Amino acid sequence: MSKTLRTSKISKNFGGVQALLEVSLELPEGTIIGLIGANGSGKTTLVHVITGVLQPDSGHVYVGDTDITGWRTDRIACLGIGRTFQITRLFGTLSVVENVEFGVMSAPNGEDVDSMVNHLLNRLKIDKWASEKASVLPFGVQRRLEIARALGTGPRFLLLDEPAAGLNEEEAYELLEMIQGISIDPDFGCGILIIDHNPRLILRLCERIHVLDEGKTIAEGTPLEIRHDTKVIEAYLGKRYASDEKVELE
Amino acid sequence: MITGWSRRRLASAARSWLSLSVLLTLVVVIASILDSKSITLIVTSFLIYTSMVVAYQMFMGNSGVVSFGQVAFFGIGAYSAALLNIPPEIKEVALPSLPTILRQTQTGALLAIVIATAFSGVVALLIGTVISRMREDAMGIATFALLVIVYTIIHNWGEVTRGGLGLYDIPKVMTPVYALIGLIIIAGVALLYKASPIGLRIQGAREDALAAQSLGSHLVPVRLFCFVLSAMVMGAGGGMWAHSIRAFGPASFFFRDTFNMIAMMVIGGQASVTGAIAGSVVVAVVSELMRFPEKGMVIGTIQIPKIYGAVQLSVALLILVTLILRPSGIMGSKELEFPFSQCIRNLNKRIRK
Amino acid sequence: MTAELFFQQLINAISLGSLYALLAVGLAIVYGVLKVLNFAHGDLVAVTGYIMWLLWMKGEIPFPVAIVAGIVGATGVSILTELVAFRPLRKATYAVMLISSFAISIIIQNLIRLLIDPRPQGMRIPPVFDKVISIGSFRIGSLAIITLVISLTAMALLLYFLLRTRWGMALRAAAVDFEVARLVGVPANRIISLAFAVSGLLAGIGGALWVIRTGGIAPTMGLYPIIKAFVGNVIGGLGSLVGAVVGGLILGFFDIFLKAFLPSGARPFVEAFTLTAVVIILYFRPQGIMLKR
Repeated sequence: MSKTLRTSKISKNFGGVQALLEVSLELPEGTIIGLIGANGSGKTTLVHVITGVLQPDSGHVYVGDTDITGWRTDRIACLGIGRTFQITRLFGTLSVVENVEFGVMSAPNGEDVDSMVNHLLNRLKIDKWASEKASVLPFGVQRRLEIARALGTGPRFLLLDEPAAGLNEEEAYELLEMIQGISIDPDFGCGILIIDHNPRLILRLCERIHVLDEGKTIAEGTPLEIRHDTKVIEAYLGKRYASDEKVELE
Repeated sequence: MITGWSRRRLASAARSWLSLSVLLTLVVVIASILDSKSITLIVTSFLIYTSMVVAYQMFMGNSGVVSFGQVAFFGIGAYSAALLNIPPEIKEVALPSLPTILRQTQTGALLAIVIATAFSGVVALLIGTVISRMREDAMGIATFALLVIVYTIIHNWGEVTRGGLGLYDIPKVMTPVYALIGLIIIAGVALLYKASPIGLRIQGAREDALAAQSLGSHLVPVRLFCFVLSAMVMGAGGGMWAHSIRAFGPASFFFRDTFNMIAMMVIGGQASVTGAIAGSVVVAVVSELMRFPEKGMVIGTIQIPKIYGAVQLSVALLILVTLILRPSGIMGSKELEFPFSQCIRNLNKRIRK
Repeated sequence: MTAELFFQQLINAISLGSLYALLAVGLAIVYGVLKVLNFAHGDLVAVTGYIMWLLWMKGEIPFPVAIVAGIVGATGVSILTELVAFRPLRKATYAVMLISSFAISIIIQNLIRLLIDPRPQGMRIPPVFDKVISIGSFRIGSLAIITLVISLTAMALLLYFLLRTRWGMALRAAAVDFEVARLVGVPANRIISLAFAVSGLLAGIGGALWVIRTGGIAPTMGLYPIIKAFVGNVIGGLGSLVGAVVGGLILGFFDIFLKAFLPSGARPFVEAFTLTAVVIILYFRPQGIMLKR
């Protein structure tokens, strides 16, 4: 039975700045949703609220029928929500294997830890660095490690915060293909939310896209719809282009 | 949600345990061959002391929290075990206001140490629930407060501890072999903990608490477990120690030993059980060497004046040098691991030839 | 308790509190720029004491000169410890710096034992500190008044320095955000040395007062000052200079009034009580008593 992770009218104010205003978003299991918007539009704040790092001023977060608003971060994670961070938060002095092990050790099905770890290392193509300390890894490998670690917990929903940031075009594309592969892999089968402020890659990858601007949802729909959405174009390219029918977001 | 032991980690820990046990047993064997009273004493005291350094390492190495308070459990363990095992005749005279049951029993060393360990655990549980919820810089101060509080209580609760006068006539039961068994068991516990899921959790929390939480790890019970386990082992070490020196008082430990043990961990490598043991050796050797200049010596016809504080000075300088040049210590986070399977394979190859 | 007794204890409490506040603030200044509690701060009190002892008791040098020399010595040692130990460890973790400061504390204690004298010593205190001043039916010790006046003056000067001078403002900026301060042009090394110098100066003044108060010195005498300074900072909230002052004052009150009101059997446990109370405060209000500005 497939569940949905959804937020309902989440609002959050930081000392006078309205970071989020009544944002409602749905992430069904087994789909890939994109969340885009300029820097500071509230994307990471939303993820923090979903994962319990921040408490919303109003609104709710649901997993299926369960209201998880206000739950502790680790309890939410145990429910099956995994995430990565905008700036990677790896366990620096621990090895690649140990980082992934941390995730796997929390997996509810108690499978054989070692084989699960190996499986993930191979899948994310980081097995070459298995015994290296996380802090010495090249940047792209670090990103993949963080994803492997989060996958280790066997999440139903995976929230990736700018997973391709800092990677060059080629690496980013490779990473996103990997992510796509993971989402359709029956082994993992989770709902994935990808955040990025660069729309190009998101448009290619996601089934649906949610667009934030200054904390508010300005558009939500398929890539095709978003591409031509005037509000979105206006937000990204400026008012001038919004009225030009030939212009589309790419 | 703590499932999933990793066979790989367990196997690695087992190899380390075997390696360390072999090495330590060798030391004891050599010492017994030399058959000298003073060497026996030194080895016994070294092994017991090292057990406590390992206990200390279990907390600081895994959690990354600097604690000045673990030695408090050394004291609690030592006093509990001593009070349980001093002969009743002595207790009647020296501690007349002790509760009757305590005054009239003598439980034997092993039971005394076991009870001391359990008691340390209970105290640690009570204190730990407070400490494990604190911020990092607050924890350092809280553990320091713990040390001072326990010291003050022991120093002033004359009816139970004889205050500054200390306890005496504790049966001197510990031999190098018993101490070796104790250290081997303790090293095993430490290595097992390091390789366990709950051990990995606190190591992760040490690196990045938020990331650890977002992977499903509730920090408070994990930290509490670490604190209590370390305290229990420390208490066991204290119990063993009480049975190795016949008499002691509150000045015997606390601040000086906190310093020594922290030095041993830092120099040997905080994140490793082997490191704790290695550091213990290094500091012990340096301390013994520096004891000579501290007492003043004569080389040929030259009288070298007493260099007060030579021991502590050298150790403190060693700490600084280590922290500046190699902050992860001698071993870093690596454990000693003889490649047993490799050796056995090579041996097989040679036998077949 | 009579009104006179209460008033006398009040003066004692404020006086002791101001001494603790002085020590706490010194610690807070280094904490502000390095974000680590410097264990060796307490031992600067010992340095001051021993210099004073050497000059006054052994060298027959006039007491005021001995005091000044002691303060200068403490400042110098403080700057030295920064150069030798803290600077090479600038990029280290909190835990590493804490342990290093612990090691430095031990080094200072043992250097004193080695270079000066390992045994505790008594100090003859000039009679001016022993006088009792009578105001009507109230009797106040001159030491209490002198301590109060000097501590308050020192803190007032510190306030002026921090608020009105260029370097003082740079120090405050560095305490708020070190990286930003550097970007704006504050030279990192000099600012940190300055922090240690100011801290050492305050420790020296506090140390002189402490020695006069206790009349004796020992290589390990820094333990109590550092505990008081720690606790004062914690009560008031780590990172706040005003908090350190308030915390020190509160601690002074606690110490005096606990000792006055507790039954004599419980007196030795005053330290334990105070520390337990501190831990409880830390648990419920880790940011200290002060409200965040």
